[in-house]
Amino acid sequence: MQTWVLISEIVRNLGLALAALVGAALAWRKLKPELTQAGSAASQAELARRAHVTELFNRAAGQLGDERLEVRLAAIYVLREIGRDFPDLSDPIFELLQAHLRERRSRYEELEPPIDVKAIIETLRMRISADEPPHPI
Amino acid sequence: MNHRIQSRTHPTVNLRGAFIRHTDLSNADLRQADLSRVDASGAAFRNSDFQDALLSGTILRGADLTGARNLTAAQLAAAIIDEHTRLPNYIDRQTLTGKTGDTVGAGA
Repeated sequence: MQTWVLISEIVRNLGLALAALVGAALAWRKLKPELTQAGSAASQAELARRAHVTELFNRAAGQLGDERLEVRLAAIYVLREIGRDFPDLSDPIFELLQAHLRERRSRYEELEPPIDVKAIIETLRMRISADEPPHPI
Repeated sequence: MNHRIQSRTHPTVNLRGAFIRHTDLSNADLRQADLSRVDASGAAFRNSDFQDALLSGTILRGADLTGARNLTAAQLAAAIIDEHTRLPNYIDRQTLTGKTGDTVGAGA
């Protein structure tokens, strides 16, 4: 008699385990499309963000040569922020700012460099500081 | 000469011909940098690493090179310095100029 009770308990437990497995499989099947959809939405959002950053980058690059100091300064700070948020753009930004310094025609005699030149040097230094490991601009 | 070998982790600087007077590039990794014909008069390069940097025609009048690393007399001979240029203590000014106080280097 005790043997039958034991066997029936084992059978019941196996049944419960099987039911749980089937339930989990059904739940996964139901959830999978939603997860895929969420992943797709996230990658769409990332693509949109990327396009926005590219636009910001292009605009800032164009504004580096603007006549107005405040526009040039804003462009430098925008590029610095882009470099921080998108490390893969750090090197292009570094190259762009260096090229701007190389091509810059205006000279100054004062003891202090213009604020935009200081901002560029400061941004470059953030990439080449010997004290710290290189971090994005 | 304070010669230290480090692996490159920073991007290589190329400021060839740039005008960067009185700027501060201290503590910078300038290894293999192209600083040829840069006007860096009065600029600060304290503790920066100049290993294999190109300093041909670089104007370093009044520049502060205190503590600069891996800088050689040959590099400085190609640059333009004056009596106000502050040199790292392992560089003997007299070997560069022959006599103290002269402006030396290419184009001087």
